[in-house]
Amino acid sequence: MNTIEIDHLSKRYGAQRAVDDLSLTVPEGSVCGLLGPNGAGKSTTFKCLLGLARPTSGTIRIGGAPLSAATFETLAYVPERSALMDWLTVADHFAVVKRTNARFDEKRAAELAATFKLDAQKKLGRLSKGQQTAVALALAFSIRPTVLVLDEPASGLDPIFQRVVLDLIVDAAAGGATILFSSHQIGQVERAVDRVAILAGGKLVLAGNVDDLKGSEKVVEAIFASDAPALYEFANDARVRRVAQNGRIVRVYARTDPAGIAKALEAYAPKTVDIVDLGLEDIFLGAVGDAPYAASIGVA
Amino acid sequence: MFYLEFLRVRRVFVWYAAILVAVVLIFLYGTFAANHADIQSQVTTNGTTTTEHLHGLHSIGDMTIPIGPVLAVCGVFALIFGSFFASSFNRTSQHAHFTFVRPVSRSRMALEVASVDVAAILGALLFAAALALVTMSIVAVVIGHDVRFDWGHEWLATGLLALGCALMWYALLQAVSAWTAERRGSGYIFGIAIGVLASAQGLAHATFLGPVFVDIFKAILFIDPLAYFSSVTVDQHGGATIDSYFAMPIGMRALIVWVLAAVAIVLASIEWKRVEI
Repeated sequence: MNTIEIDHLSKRYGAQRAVDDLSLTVPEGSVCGLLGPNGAGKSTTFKCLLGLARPTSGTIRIGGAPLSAATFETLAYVPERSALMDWLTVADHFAVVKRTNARFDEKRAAELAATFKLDAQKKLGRLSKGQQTAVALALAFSIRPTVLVLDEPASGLDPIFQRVVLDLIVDAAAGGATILFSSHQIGQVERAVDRVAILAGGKLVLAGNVDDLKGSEKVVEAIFASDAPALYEFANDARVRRVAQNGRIVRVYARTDPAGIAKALEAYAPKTVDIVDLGLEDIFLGAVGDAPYAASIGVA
Repeated sequence: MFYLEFLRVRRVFVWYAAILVAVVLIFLYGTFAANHADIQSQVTTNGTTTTEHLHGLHSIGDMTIPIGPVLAVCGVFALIFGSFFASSFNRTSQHAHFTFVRPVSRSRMALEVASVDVAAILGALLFAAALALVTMSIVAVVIGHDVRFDWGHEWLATGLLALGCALMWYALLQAVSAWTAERRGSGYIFGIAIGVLASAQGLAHATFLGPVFVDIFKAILFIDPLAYFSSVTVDQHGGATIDSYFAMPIGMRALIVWVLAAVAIVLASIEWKRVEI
């Protein structure tokens, strides 16, 4: 069953299309990373998903039903920027959530406050950006949500707490929660997600299971003693999806026959040639197009 | 959102109460300090000088406290108090990523926020009225005179008018600020509204502006709460009259401001439900 279903979602602001015909499903219990460069439409997608913005067209269903106030009984959201009240204390925020959400778990909230080392009596305005994010995360997880929408959840956190956030996400997913989150830190995403959706210019350019995407290609990486030569022979090679060059390093993204491509590269006398697995970063850059590299050798 | 709005309003109320109490204390200090001072006057008649000692406390006569005018004046205090959170829909929208993702519909949220605000404005009026009556009673009792409360025959209508004016002002500010969720979006609206409130009555009589502008400002007076009770006159017998720019009975004025308040708050709620972030 798909917990989140986005069907042909479009959102326009005047003439600008922030989201353009986006269709995406997130199955129950999965962790989906929503990736994209700045301005790709991730935050607008979240706003439409949560009813903070009205879609120009398209439909959104959560748990099989259109969005309603009842949806938020089990859905928690952490926005990219703090939306909390500077003049309220951490304890006040917990009290507000407790009074509005029947699923609020006081014991869990206390655990989370301790984990993030939050001072309950401090006003939000006196906390750092990272601590404010920690409060938002603690509030979100304190209702033991079954659906989590996290927009840059580790933003402003130090590496220790970033690790805590990842653990919380993995723990929630293990408990059956469905999670959709965005982050620019692809390494973090890679460790947590089982599915990925990549947006560019408001459009969905790639979506799928991370393992399937990683297994779809290999990267043949060659390092040269001086600047890498232009590898025109790969421009029209059906085995090659893309070639990226950065100084002395050349990466050839091979659809098939990586060993054959490695052999062909050895003809250019590189220092080393290796065949490596595709990483999420490679998938991301491939999907959104790392134009500077590809353009440098005339291959896209 | 009851609790969140309660916390917001409580913060304003603490300041409001503290300022009123401070004003009262200054008034009491001024009254008693002045009236405790012996006044000596030397009068020379036919070459003979006599010194008269007058005690200030005896310089005040019997005290009649007109309830209606007290409520009217306290209504202005409540109006000012309400102005400080009259953009609560707008302010709640500024935290929409927190408030709008609670399991509460926006209609219910609007009802909860407005209920707390209205209760707070009523509380502010009653607090100011109680403080005023207690203060005046203290002054009278200390001086040693009887206190008489003059309820008059229009005190209830006056009270309803005073509360209605405060609520109308609150609701109008909500209506003009609810549609935007921009940060500080309500600030300039509040500033313009205060300017209109302060100047509309004067400008409605400024014929040098030309008939069109005068007519515009006369029309604006219908949503100017102060135009509904322009002045309070207390006669020598303690009787009070509350005048208005509008020549109509006080009950009718009260009805108009309550209807305007209700319409404005409904309009504000509808606008707020449509706010996009």
